Amino acid sequence: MDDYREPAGRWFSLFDWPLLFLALTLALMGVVVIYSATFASEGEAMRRLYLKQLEWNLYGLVVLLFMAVLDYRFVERPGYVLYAVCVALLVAVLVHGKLVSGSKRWLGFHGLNFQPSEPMKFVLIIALTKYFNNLRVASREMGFKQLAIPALLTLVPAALIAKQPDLGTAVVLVAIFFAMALVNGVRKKTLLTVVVGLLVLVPVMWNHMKDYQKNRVLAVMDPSSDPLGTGYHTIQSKIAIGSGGFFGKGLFRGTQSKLNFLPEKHTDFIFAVYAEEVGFVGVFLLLLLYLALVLRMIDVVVKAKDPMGALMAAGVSAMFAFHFLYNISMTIGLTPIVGIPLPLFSYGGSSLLTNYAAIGILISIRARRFRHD
Amino acid sequence: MHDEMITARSVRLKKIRLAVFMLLMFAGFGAVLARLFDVQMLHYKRYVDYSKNQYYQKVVFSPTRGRILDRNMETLAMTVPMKSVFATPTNMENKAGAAAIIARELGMDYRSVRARLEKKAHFAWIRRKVGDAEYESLRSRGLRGVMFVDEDRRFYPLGGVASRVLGFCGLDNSGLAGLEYLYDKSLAGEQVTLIAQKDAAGRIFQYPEKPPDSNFDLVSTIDVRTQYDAEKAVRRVYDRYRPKSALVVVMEVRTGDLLAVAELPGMDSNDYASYPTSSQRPLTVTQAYEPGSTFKIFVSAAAIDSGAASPDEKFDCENGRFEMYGKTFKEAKNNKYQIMPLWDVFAKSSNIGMIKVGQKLGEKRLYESLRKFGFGERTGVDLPGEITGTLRPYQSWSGSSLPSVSFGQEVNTTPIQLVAALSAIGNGGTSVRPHLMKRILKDGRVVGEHSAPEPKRVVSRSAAEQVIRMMRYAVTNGTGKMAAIPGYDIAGKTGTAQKFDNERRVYMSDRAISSFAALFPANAPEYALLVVVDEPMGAGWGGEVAAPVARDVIEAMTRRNGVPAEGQLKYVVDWKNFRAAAAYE
Repeated sequence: MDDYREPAGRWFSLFDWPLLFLALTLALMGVVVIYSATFASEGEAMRRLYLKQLEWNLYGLVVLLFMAVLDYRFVERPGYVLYAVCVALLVAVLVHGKLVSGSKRWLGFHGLNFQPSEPMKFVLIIALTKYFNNLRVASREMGFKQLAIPALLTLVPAALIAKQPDLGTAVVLVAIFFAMALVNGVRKKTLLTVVVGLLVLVPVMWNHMKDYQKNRVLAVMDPSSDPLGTGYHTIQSKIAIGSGGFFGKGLFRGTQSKLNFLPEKHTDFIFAVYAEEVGFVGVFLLLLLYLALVLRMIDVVVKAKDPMGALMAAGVSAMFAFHFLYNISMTIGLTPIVGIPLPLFSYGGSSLLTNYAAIGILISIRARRFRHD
Repeated sequence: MHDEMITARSVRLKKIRLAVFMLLMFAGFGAVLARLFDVQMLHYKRYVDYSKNQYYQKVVFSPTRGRILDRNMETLAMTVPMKSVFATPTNMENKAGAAAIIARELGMDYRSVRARLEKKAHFAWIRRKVGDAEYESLRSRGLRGVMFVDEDRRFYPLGGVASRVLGFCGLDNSGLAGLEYLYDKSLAGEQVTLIAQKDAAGRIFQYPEKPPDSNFDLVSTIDVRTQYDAEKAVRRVYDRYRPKSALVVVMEVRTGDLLAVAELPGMDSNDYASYPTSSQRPLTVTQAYEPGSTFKIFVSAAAIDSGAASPDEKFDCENGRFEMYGKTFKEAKNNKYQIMPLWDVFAKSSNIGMIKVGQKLGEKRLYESLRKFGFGERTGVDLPGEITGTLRPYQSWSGSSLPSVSFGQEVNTTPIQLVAALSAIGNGGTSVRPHLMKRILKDGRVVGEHSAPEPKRVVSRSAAEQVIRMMRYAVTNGTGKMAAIPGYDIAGKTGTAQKFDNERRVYMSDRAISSFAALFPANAPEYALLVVVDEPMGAGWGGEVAAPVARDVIEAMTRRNGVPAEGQLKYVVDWKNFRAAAAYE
């Protein structure tokens, strides 16, 4: 009875306004906090970052609307092609990428810098969706045989990204894979084997990690062991957050960020700037907003018309959940520091556009839940 | 039908899987929230402290070092704001050209300037503390990489006057010698610690304003006019007899105030580094010497005080030759005296007569009385480095010790000990501690004052008065004639101690310490004065060398007493080379 090809009025009512509202609220809060983190900076470019972020938000909104209008099945179809293109870009990064503070993550593009690892997250979700969806094992859960190819699909870009090195994004890809596999169904025995296997593998991985990565892990255990080196980020971030207290120091009045004690204050540690200025009250509100955002995304998983939509939504939900939880836990010293931004909030165009695209596709999935074809 | 069952099962499974997924997420959410609660709520205080420690920095302001004043608030030492010149060699282009300009403007050697500029450093001093004119002319050249910083310089406007007592300060303006060293804390003043804010790079912003200085001043007991008179007099004897050293100490007997401590060879505190270290310490407390005949004052006082002798009592002076314990004692200049009263023994300074006095007194009483006068221990005067001198306990004396000590041998005193003991005589038999600090002022208010210890009785008033009369007689009729001033009563005693040759174990005939100890005015002594001239060349007898110095000083002091000061103290300051001199004109 419902036709998703109905005119605009119908589409308007099917549009997921709450999700858009949550996303925009977070994004605008991000712009304000980026302003707060940078307005006292010396460089003119730094002081104008919030305007650039605002600009990226506008582009992001366009991308979101485009994805929302698009049928998600249309996106799924060229899944592997998109995947191949993105992996190719990752290879290009390793070959031609710009070196920024020890890492090759950016591709220069007519003066535009772009991080292929960001869309890779989204493209992996699409590729995995395509794979899992084509797997005809609806009645039975997946075993190792079925998981081998998607695992490979994940590990190739993850390895390329880890080589940049950007351990954070690589971990995000693995997290997406696990979440999507889990939602799609994995045999209990297989799941158990994987968990045990990981426990065995961790020490082996440890030996292959770079020193700075090892140090970051160690710094989580005891940041005071090296307060000016590896532990510096964690300590400064905790000081900023802790000194915010219940009500915070007041918006735009954080001292740790203004006095440059806080590193990466407008990107990965934007949460610390926020927490210092608005305190536990504001932090609690932000956490609730993120929780609401992810729950609204999971609602799409439940309401999706077909497994394809559900899988895609599950991947996006996992990506957002992992991102915001990991980012915050690293700022408070719960997890090692890796380059994982706070989604929609941290400064960064590539990340913002990817996030908007992912939200757009969720809106598309939700809007098409009543279609019958 | 089958398909529907599968679908239903898969929907149920899907819900379970989603539940697992959400459970994981909520677990993470809970952990994050708990940690945030812990950090922001439970340990809030700790992190606030951390953050404050990070961006607050203490800034210490040292006030300008206080002045040293004389008793009439005349400036002896002051602090002058100056500029120091430094270079940032890594930031300079034409080093040869710059070096030439600097050398010319600052009057420095071109090569030494060039060497400093050629250092591979970000910082090199060129010259510390330059004068205003040099600073202005160098600054106007606008040399790149040449910079200036404010630095205080200690300045002594009277040049070398009282320099050994005043001491000096190092480049960092902390006292290194003399009063500057001893009262360093008071002169440095109270440091003010203020809180500044800094950023992660350690850059201070919101620099606190320097609080207004508190002016700490040390008012000394020195009287510049007396000091100047003493220096003039001591200069004359120094130039004439070329001794190793010469000094004059003037002390107020009632208070212990040291009015003048003039010592040569002198030095200039403005330029202390160009003088040998031996010239940098006050001789008055560091020179140990055998007092010789001036010591007879105290032996006589002890004898009269104990009743062992009286001024009229006669002593056999053995015609100039007296043997005791295998040792032959003679008179100075081979004089031969027979029997004469203590008056004459003292005035003519008979060694043999004094030995007889000592014998009547006995070792124990002599020793104990001399200890009461303060010999063999520090006076406690506020000058650094004071030594004790030596007065061995009588139990360890040999047979010849009593006769030797009786006329001032086998005992080492410092000038300050002797002048303090002399003051006890002048002060009616009670001793006061000599001192140089009168009071310390903070912004003109007294915050510290010399507190004299309870005066100690050494000998009876009558014994003291009788000794003063004998000293007066010595000046009018005895060895101290050279110190006499017509119409003015002085009590005094000469002393000539031959120096002991430690290698040959004999007293040398050609090397002596000539001294003169005086109390004046004789009828009611106000001042004690001591002159010590170490190894005057040519004439070695106390009366000839030291007494006229005493006379000059006393004359100058009395001429001024009760009469308004003649002329004004004039400072001649050469700011370019930081030399100064002062004179009454």
